[in-house]
Amino acid sequence: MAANKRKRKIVTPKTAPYFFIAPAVLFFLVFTLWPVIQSLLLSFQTSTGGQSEFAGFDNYIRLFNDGLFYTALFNTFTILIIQVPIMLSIAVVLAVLMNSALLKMRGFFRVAFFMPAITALVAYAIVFMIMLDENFGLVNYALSLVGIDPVAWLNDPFWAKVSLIIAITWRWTGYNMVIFLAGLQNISNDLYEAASIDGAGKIRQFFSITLPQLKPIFLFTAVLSTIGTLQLFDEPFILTDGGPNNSTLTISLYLYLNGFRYFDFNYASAIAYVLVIIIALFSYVQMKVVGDDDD
Amino acid sequence: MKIWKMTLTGALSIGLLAACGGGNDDADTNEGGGNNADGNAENSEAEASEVSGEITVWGWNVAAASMELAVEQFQEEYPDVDVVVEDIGREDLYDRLTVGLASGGSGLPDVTMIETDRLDNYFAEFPDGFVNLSEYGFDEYEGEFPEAKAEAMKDADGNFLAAPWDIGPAGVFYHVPHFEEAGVDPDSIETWDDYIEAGEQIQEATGAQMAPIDISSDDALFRMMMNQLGTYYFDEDGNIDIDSDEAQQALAKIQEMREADLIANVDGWDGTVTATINHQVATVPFGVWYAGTIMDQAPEQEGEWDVFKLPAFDGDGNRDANLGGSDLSVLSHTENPDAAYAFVEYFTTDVDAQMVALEEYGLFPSLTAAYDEPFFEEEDEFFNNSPIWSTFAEVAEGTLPANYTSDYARALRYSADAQAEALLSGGEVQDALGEAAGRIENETGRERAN
Amino acid sequence: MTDKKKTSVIIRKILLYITLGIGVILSIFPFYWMFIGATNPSGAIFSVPPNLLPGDFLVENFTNLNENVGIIRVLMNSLIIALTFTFFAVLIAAAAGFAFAKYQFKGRNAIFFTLLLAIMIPYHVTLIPLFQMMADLGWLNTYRAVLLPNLAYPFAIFLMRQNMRSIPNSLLEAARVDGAGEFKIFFQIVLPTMRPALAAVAIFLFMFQWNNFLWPLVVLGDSDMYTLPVALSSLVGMSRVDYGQIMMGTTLSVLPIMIFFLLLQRQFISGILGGSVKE
Repeated sequence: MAANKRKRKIVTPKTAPYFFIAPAVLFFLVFTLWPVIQSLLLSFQTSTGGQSEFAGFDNYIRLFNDGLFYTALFNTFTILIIQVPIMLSIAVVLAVLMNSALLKMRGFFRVAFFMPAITALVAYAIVFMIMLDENFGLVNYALSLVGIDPVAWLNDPFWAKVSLIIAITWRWTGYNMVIFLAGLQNISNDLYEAASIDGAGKIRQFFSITLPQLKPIFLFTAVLSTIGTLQLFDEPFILTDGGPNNSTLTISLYLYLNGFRYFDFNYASAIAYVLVIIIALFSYVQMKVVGDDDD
Repeated sequence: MKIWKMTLTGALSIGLLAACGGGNDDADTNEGGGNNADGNAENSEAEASEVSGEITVWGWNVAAASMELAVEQFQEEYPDVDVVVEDIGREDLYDRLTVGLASGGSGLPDVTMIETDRLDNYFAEFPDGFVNLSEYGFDEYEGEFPEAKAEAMKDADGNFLAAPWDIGPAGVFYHVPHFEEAGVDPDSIETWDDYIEAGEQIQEATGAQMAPIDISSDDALFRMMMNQLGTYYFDEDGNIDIDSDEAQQALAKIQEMREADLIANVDGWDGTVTATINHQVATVPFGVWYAGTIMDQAPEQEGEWDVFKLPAFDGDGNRDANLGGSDLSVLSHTENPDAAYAFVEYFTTDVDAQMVALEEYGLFPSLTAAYDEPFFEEEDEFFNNSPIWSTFAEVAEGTLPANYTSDYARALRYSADAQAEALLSGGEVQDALGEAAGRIENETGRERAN
Repeated sequence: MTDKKKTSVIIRKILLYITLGIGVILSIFPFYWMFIGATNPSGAIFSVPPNLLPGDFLVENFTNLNENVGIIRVLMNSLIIALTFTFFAVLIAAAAGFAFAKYQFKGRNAIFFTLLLAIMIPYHVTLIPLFQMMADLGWLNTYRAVLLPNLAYPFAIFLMRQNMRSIPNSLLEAARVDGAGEFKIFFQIVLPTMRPALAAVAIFLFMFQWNNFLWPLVVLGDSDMYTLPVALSSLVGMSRVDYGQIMMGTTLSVLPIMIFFLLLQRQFISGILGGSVKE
């Protein structure tokens, strides 16, 4: 009881928020901000044989003159521009179908679509490598049954990008679909009823009610998918290692190669922070374009 | 960062001093033993019993398993040393090793396995990370390994920072029924031109291609060929040599095979194995360690496989080359350098330990004394009753050295890019390799030899 | 007329099931294939034409896997770590999200924005400084080192904040008038009403930790402490890979998270974005 009394004095509606954010902020400062500052400092140094020295913007200048970095930028953006719209479109269509009153076993469908997002990386890697194999893969086998010639899924500069897009889409469509589904269930039925009375068909309703109502969800999924794709690492790392001839090299993969294969952590850090700036700009622009209803 | 790093390097150097102190003492005793030359047993036993403690060793897959098998016998000599072998995946091991070394040696084992072509990379970036084995007297074993292998273990000052373990003498694994069906005599294949000719015959008769290559990310055949021709990514002075005449000759030969449709373009390791056991290819030019893979993944194909040496580039040219191989290093943060060294020394220089690794897991020793074992004369049932192990031993002894250098990882990557350019996009070999050389030059500041 | 309507409903139903059915097949076929791999010997995965029938190697693959990596222990490790992490991270995210959504305080937007920025940082770049810190703290090879760094999970905080915005202020004010302290309000009013959102965030966090690979790999030295992804990855070596065991392991890695999702999915759907779609 005494303790309670004392607490009441300290914890007021004015001070309470500081107590509530304290754990998060504390963990964030120690385990995120501090390493970030350290790696940021690393990006302003160069090192040879274990000896570091301050190098100003040298790493950043080197980056802006690095042809491979531009290749990585180009690849990442190509994938971003094609993959994110395709995935979100499929996701929203699936979500609308899933929301249909005619559908039974909804739980089964939800789980089935969500499963790819929960796969461990190692599993994903091996399964896709073997399925996409040019000579013996299941995918080419299936294509051969309908008379299509084998495709060099991972070994052709064009198809390698396509394979990455397919793999990412496979992995994250269900995840986004579930988010859209959540959004759909928040749209009031009155809107549809009113539209029906006005004689609008299902397709009209989809464009005039569903999509506008889902705008905030679109923003949310688009920002998340954009961040995810700009940081794209897993798929090119396990499926193509950035090849052939760097046609699937992404920014994060280039970062990893420099840090963990060439041991140039300074340069890798510079790449990371240029990437952060790019992502921040993109997210900002998306919010402005779609129109943020927050704040 | 600065403060952080200073405290860290401070702590580290104290640790290092301590380690070196211990090291020197031990080196003295060791030298004493060595000076007594005829090494009376009493002396070395007394030495062994002084060493005690627990050490951790990192390795992957069959390598870890074969070290595990050696522990028992090691402990007969060093009863007070406990050895814990951790089996870690290959890429995982490197990631952990890199992170540990980059943070000043934390979380690392006492001993780790490292592949030969990656050694220079680690030695150059983390010069304080590894115990100088020469100070413990490892130099005395130098003559027991092929020169090419021993040289790769040393830092710039000629000190051993790693002890040689297995090597990958190269050969061509071939599927006997395919050769019989096409009426091709493997002994008649002496040059790469013969190989291409045989390939065309086999393809006509059986539909199988000749060799699997993961064109966009692995240049194994190119490296074996360069090694045959006495060149590599860099010359012996560390200058960029990837666009040398020999390298061009090698890549052009692979391009010729590709144009004759003899190369199966496979995806990664899984793709290579698939193409092998499903007979999409009639041969696989690879390191000796591939024997174990075929036995594991296609046990029902016993007796159908055999091996011949890599074909030469001309009539009496060199047919010996190496692909892969690994080594053991002692990490300098170890609290027990004596025990760690004892294990490394025992495992890499003891014929029995090496033979167990070979017989059980197909890890081919670089310890040349092992080649006198009867096992090497045996005919292997799985491999068409051929004495393939003696073939590989011959290859091992004739292999020319390769200078991997600290920029190997970059060179490997840009080489694979060049290969993709030449084989997939039909680029000129000279231009593709020239571009690779240019990239390496830009990023490393090394001179170009050509 | 009604007949026509009936037929059109039936046709629509058929189309609906066909479309979703194709989607489901594409979505879960790799899992089926994984399971086939788990019931067959290693080399069978490469057979042409592809083998799509279960074999009788299930028990053998499981036994081998358990001998190799101690799969039961590894599953327990993963489960304990993921559940512990999820519990604390959800609590921390809920508290922070509540503060960001329902209180006015100095630095609110700046702190929130900084947290969001952290989502944008590639994880490889902080790996080494973070590892160095764990080494200096002497925490390497402990579960602490695995759990603590991501406890303040920015995305979870963001989701909680979005959801908390839908709590009516009047409800909080009423509680205050009744004399409830701020902590009491949080634990007894906010958390219970936010159950769906908590479930949604819990699924995200559990998924993250269950599949977290690189960080546990570098900080956990002792193979007895390995989590599932780390143990599975150790099976993928250079020259010899037992695909039967790996497929067994991957199948096992999917099951718990599927169950977790099945249990919480109802709340998950309604809680995922509750706040952000409200006007």
